[in-house]
Amino acid sequence: MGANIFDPANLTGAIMTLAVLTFLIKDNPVFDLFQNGFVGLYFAYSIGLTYHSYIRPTIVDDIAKKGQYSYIIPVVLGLLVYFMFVPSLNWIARYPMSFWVGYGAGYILAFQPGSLMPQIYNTFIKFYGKASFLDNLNAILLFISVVTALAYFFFTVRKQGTAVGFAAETGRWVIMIALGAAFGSTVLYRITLFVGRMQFLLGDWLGILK
Amino acid sequence: MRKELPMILTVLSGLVVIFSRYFHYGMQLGLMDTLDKWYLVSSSFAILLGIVNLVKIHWGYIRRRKEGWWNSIVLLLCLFGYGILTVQQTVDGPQAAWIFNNIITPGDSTMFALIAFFIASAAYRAFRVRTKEATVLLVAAVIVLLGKAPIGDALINGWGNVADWILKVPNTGGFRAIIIGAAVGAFATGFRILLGLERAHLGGSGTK
Repeated sequence: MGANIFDPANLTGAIMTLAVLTFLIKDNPVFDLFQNGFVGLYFAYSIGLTYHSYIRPTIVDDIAKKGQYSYIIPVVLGLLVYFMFVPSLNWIARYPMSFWVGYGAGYILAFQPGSLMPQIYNTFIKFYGKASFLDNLNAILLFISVVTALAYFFFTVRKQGTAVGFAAETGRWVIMIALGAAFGSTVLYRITLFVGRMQFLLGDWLGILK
Repeated sequence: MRKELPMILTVLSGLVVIFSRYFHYGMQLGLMDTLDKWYLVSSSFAILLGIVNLVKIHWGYIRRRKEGWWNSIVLLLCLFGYGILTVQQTVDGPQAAWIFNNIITPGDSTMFALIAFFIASAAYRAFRVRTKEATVLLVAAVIVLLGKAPIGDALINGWGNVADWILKVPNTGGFRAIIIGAAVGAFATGFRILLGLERAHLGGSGTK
């Protein structure tokens, strides 16, 4: 692939990448400028996405074209939140907030067992499978990990030397290993992204890497 | 009127969701689809709330000539310029998509890549604490980090398998417990909201 340093797409991407990377030296005006521009662009993107995904289809298609006037209710409900900026009437903004919170609470009570139960079920299920010795050992270790980590979370006040205390102490180590593994995966993911940016700069943009 | 009606609305909307999920008649009525759409449409208006706040703050910076106020001008220009563009031609429009692909995407991935350096320095500081827990955390991190990269198996044959085991057993177990714990907490909070015991969304101290 022939690199083109002055190709507008590559050039803009390279400037953006280098501007962000200048932060590695120290906080500087170039980084601040791009950071602010970046925040503006991201918010603007979310405006466009929200407008074309929900607001326009509801107002133009559902209400105006199809005559589904019941959708006026969520539109009005959504707009009520702007009473937050009117000090004497800001209590009106509680109505949309109440609907969202109530919907969220109901959603958790109605749908969360559906995603939670498989987690519990899968902790036990392998005991009944005809798996190899190693798989069964891993299933037992997984079960111990889950139960001890739960003991660590739920029994925050515990006595030393009791079964619960021992389980919670073991759970603490399990959590440390889990968080360490998550930390390692995160670092690896970030390094992968960094390698990707270097490949772009040195390969796509400058053409040094083939 | 100011607190009672919103509370009734909270309880009613929650109960309608539960009714639509657990009762056959509720499922037949299809209320869940309607409520889903109502939720998505009404909450989509809230995105503008964040933007109004952002504009208010940065307009204040510009007016008061606060240090770095020119950054606020850039932010507002990008916000309104790109905002108008995306509304006019959708986010998939030619110019809007070009900006997304060549400015937002590289900036986004470089920002995330940048965290690799700071996360590494955080790990160094954590290791300096020299507690047993910090050591275990870091050892697990190093095993996974090197094990999931080609260098792990190149250094010691089978390193990748150890990393896989850590991810498959203690990592899965630990995070499963975290998920179960969080789900039980969310469940309890849901109950408290529907019973009217949790009122933070209505202002005030939030609990009764």
